[in-house]
Amino acid sequence: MNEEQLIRAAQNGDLDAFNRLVISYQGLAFNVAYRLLGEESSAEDATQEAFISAYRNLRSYHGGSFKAWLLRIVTNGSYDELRRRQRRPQVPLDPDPMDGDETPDPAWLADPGETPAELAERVELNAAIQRCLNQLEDEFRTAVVLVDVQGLEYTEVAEVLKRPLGTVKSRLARARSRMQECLQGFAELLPEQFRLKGEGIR
Amino acid sequence: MKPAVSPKDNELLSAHLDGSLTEHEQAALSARLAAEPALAAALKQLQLTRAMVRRAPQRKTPRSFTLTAAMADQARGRLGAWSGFNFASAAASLALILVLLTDFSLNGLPLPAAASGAAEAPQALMAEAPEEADTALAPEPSPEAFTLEQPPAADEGAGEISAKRSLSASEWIAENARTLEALLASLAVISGVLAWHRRRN
Repeated sequence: MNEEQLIRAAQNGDLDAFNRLVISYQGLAFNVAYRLLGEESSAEDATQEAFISAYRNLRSYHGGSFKAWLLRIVTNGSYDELRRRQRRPQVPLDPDPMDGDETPDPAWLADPGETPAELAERVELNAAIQRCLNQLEDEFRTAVVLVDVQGLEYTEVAEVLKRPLGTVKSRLARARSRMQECLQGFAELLPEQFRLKGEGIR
Repeated sequence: MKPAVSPKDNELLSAHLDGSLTEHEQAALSARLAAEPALAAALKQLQLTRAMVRRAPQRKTPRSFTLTAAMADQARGRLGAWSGFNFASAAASLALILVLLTDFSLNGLPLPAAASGAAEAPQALMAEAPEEADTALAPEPSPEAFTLEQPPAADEGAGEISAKRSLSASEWIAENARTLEALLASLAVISGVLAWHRRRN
């Protein structure tokens, strides 16, 4: 069955068909939630809730990009979680030395054949990217995550954000500009090829 | 630190990176990039930034997110509750309109006139019009029914009770119209907000 047939079957109550869609998209959904929330357990909850919500509201899907429809549910769920955090800020029991941001666990980043130095470099890069993403406003962060991290097309992002294409372009441009400024602060931590030299910056 | 380029140019450079400029825009930007080193430098930096963000590793899913039968049932159960809310929203809106209309008729027209107006329709349909509007609300029993099934006095008594009940209900609505309006308006608003929240998700 192709995606369209799976969606139709799922809309008619076929749970197995729906679960095949879940398997196709769970990696993308989880990674989007993870980059928006910056933390694994919240991303896990947001992803599960998103799939439950998708199943519940499957009849409201009337064609178009299923991926965009699903990611809209994921991003809205993640925004809700971020708002909950703002309302009820939690103080960690064991404050970490990295200013409260999640310390990256190198295990999940490990790549076979990688030297410890390369691994350390990738861990630093990942931490720097996540910290800079965390500083962006919700929709700016979503634009960067969807286009640059997940490789979505502008039109799909416009569907996810429910914004005109022009708005997506301008938000993405501003978000990239802010990421650039932020990453400048981590110059020493970044691999040599990514160190920004300061040309054109004043 | 601020980029040397304007926000407009920054937007052009960003779209250029993704190949989403029109032919005309692309040609104009290429000419400017050749003539303006600061713009070309800004493009290079933007390219580096994008390349760096693209290197953000994909995290493996910690577990499967497939739905169990119990989770699906729970989701369907919630759907049922939401459907109920949607129905409640429609019912509350309808009830609100009815209460507003009732309120208008009670405040704008005298109650007896409204009651006699309601009695006019059955009167026109019946061969013999009853003398009093109150008794017209109940169907006229046949003479046979009076003698064979129920004594006429008992039936008249029932008609009076029915009329009294109808009148007291009208009076109760008239007395509590404002409270009912507020209650139903609140219900309609709450249902609307919940329906909006559901659409968002």
